[in-house]
Amino acid sequence: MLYWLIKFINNYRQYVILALLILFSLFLLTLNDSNRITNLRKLSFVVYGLIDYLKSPLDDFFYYKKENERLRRENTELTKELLELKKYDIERDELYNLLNFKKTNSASFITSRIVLKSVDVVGTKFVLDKGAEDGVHVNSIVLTPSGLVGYVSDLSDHYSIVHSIANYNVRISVINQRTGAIGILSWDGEKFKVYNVNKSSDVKEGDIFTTSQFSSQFPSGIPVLKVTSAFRETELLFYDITGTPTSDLVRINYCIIMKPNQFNEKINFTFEK
Amino acid sequence: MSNRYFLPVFVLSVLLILQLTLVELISYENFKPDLLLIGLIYYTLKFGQIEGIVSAFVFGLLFDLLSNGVIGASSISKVIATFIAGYFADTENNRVEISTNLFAIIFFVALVERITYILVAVNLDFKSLLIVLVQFGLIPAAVTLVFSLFILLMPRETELR
Repeated sequence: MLYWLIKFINNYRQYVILALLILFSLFLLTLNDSNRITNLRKLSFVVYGLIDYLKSPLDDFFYYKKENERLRRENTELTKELLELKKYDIERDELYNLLNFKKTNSASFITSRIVLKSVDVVGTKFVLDKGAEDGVHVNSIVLTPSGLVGYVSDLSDHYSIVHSIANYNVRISVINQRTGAIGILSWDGEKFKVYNVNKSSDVKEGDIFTTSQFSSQFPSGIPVLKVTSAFRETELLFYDITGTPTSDLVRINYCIIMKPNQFNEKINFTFEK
Repeated sequence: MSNRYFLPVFVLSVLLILQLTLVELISYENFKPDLLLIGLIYYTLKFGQIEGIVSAFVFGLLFDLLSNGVIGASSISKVIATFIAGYFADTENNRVEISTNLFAIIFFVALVERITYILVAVNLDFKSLLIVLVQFGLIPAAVTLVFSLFILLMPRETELR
């Protein structure tokens, strides 16, 4: 029996090793939510610290190289200055909006810079420059003055990882601010959709969906989506609703973190209607 | 550690670091090459299936841990991908022939790796599957293929065919 087993393993060793490695990987997949694995995952913050350190000179390198090539073609120094000013103008407006948002709300928020935006098959992930030492907690909500960005999924002392709402695995219970129609918001990799909104309810283009009181993860009343199209003519019992997020997930550079113990505070948003 | 193993481990470690830092900085959305996979395929073709899948598991797991990803997803997808790559290995001569076949293998294996990763890591409905397979399967595999052309710059004994 032992001889036969040794002979079998020897003859098919690559398949045996493959099977063992796959089984072990599957075992690891089941452990993803355990505390030990979460602690091990904190190793990634070493990498994010390194990226933060490398990013500035590298960004400058690519940015200025590209900029100079263009300037040579245009042969004018003025254009460069104008572009620079525009860049700072946008950044200033963003910071000004954040400041106003903090002034108009009684809850204390943590303002944070986005160090890295990473697009993965699962969805968009942001790395923020604030962590546990700044008072951030896991499951803290991340916002802009316009609405919801995502939630903190993991953190170290100085950095936190945010899973944005543009994520296949995120489902948010939302409510139409105008009519009270309730649905589930999700991202299909390309568009934001609101599912399960009954055709008997009233939804039209331009409506704002906010987080509902039924959401287990997010406090209610945070703007999430502006409806761009709502079709009733479907074979199903529900609307076909698509929209754009109220927060510009592509352009944001700064955001606000709201601690879980402040979820009951009333917040005034300044999104464009 | 003998020379046979030291160099691949060193190169794969460098590729892992580059994948986690440089690629994140230079990539645009899902146009993201997998430098680590190129290295794993190269060494699998050179040394064979067993060395390939073991290193794919180790470096896949390290990648999952250091990228804050789904632990076990990259290791399983890279193990399966390198196992397939192993069928094309020339273990008798321990060499990789730089030919158009090599790049076809890299593209095919990268595609298999991405598809496996998507199926393992993402909770998808059937309607979104096709879009995701194109966006996060086909495009990254094609970008990986383009980046694998850097192999042509490596010193080699065999001629390009």
